[in-house]
Amino acid sequence: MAMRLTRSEDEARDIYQETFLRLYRTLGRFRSDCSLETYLYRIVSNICLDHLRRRAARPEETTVEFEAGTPGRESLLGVPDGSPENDPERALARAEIRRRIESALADLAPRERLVFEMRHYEGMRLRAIGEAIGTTEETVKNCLFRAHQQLRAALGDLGGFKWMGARPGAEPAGIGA
Amino acid sequence: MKDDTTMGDSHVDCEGARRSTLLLLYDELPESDRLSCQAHVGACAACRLAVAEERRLHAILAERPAGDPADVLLDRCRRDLALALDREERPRVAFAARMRAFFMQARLSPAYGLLILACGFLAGVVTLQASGGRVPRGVASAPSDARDTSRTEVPVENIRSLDSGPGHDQVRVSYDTLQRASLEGTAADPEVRDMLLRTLRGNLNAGLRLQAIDALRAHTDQEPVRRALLETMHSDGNPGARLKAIEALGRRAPGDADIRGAMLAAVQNDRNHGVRVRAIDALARARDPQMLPTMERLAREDPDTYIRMRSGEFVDAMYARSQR
Repeated sequence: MAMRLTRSEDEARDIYQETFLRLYRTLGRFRSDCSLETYLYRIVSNICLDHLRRRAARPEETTVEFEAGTPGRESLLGVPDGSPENDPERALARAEIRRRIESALADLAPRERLVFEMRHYEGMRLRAIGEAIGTTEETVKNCLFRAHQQLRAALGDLGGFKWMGARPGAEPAGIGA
Repeated sequence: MKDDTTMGDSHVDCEGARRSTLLLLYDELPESDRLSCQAHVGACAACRLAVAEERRLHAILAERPAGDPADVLLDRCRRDLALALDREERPRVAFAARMRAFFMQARLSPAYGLLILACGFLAGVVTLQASGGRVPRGVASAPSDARDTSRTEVPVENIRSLDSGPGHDQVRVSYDTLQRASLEGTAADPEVRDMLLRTLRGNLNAGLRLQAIDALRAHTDQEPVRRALLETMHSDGNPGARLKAIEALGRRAPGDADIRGAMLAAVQNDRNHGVRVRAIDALARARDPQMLPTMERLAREDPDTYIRMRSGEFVDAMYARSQR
C-alpha cells in the first residue's frame, strides 16, 4: 500500500518502518475490540494519511518513480521487442496514460486518495476501510464516490485506446456481470 | 431516457442509480439494491452511458503498474526494521496500569483464574509423582554442601556424565552450558571466516546471512568462501542472499567455469526476476564462448524481455568477435 501511494522506495521504506515501530510501541494498548490486522491497517492508514497531507502541503516534492522490472520502466527505456505489446507507439501512449493516472491520483484529497487506493487497488471492503481509518461505511462510500467523480473528470478524455477493451461511446452489454 | 424507475417497493432515480452502479462495479451493493439498480440502468440510456464511462475508467486505471515491492526492497525493510527494533527501548507499561489490568482480568473471570490454579497444582502433583521425587533432567540443582568447581549461573544445555562412587555419597556432574561470546578480527582470520561461513550456511536469520556475504565478499579467492557462496547462489531461500552471492562471485566469473555454470543455472531456473537479471548481467560480462548455444536459446525463448535483450547482446558480441 505504501509503495502504491508513494511510488518511491525510500518513502515506502520509511512508512514500513514507522508502521511496525508504532505497532511495537503501542501493542500494550491494543485491545481485542478489533483484529490485529485491522489495528495494523489503522496504523498504516494514519501514517499514509499524514504522509499524503505533508505531500499536499509541499507539492513540489511529489515524485513518480517507476520501479525496476515494471512494464512502465521497460516502456520508458524503450527496450526493443518484437511483440505487439511493446510497439514503441503504444509504449509511449501507455507511459503517458500512467503519468496522467499518477497525476490525477496526486490531485485527490488525501483521505479520498487513501480510500480509493484501499478499495480499488488493495481490494479492501468498504467496511474494513471504515474501521481502518476510523469512520463510517457511509463516509467511505462518499469519499470513494468523490474520488471517482474527480478521476472521471481528469481522465475522461483517455477513452480512445483500443487495447483497453472499451471504446468511447460503447455501452456495456449489462452490468454486474 | 428515464428519470426514475419503480421496481417492487424500490424507487431509484438517476442520481441514486449512478451512485449505486459504482458500488455495483465494486461488488459492494446489497442484493435487493442490485436488482433495482440493474432495472433502472436497463431502462435508462443516460445511466447506461454512465456505467460505460465507469467501466472505461476502470480499464484506464488498470493501466497503472502494480507497484508491488521487490523482494530486495522487502528484505532491506526487514533488516532496517530489525536494527531499529534493536535500538528501541522496551515499551513500558506503567506498574499501576499493569496491576489494574491484572485485577480487572481476575475480577472478570474468577472461574478462569481458579481453573488455572487447580491445573497448576494438579500438574505439580503429577510431575512429582512421575519423577519419584527425583530432580528433573536438565535442571542443575545441587545439595547445599556440594562443591561446585566450575559452575556459573548460565543455562544448562546437556548433561555429559555422572560419576559416583559406591562407598560415598559424592557425585560429579559434567554438563555443557550456553554462554554468549564474541569474536573480533578480519574475515581473513580463519576463525572469523569459519564463523561467517557457518552463519551463511546455517543461520535462520536472513539479515545475518546477508551481512556474512558482505563480510566475505573480498575473500572469494579462498576455496571455502567460494564454495559457500556457490551453495548460497544455488540454494539459499532468500532472494536477497542469492543476489548478493552473485554479486560477490561476479568478478571471478570470467575465469571460473563453476561460477559461470551456477550463474547460468540461476538465469534459467531462479524464480526471482532480480536474481536472474543480476546473473545474466554477470554472464554477459564474462563473455564465455561455450555459453553461446544457451544464450542463443535464451535470446529466442526466454519470457523475460530484459533476459532476451541481454542474451541477444551477448550473442551479437560473440559473433562480432568471431568475425574479427
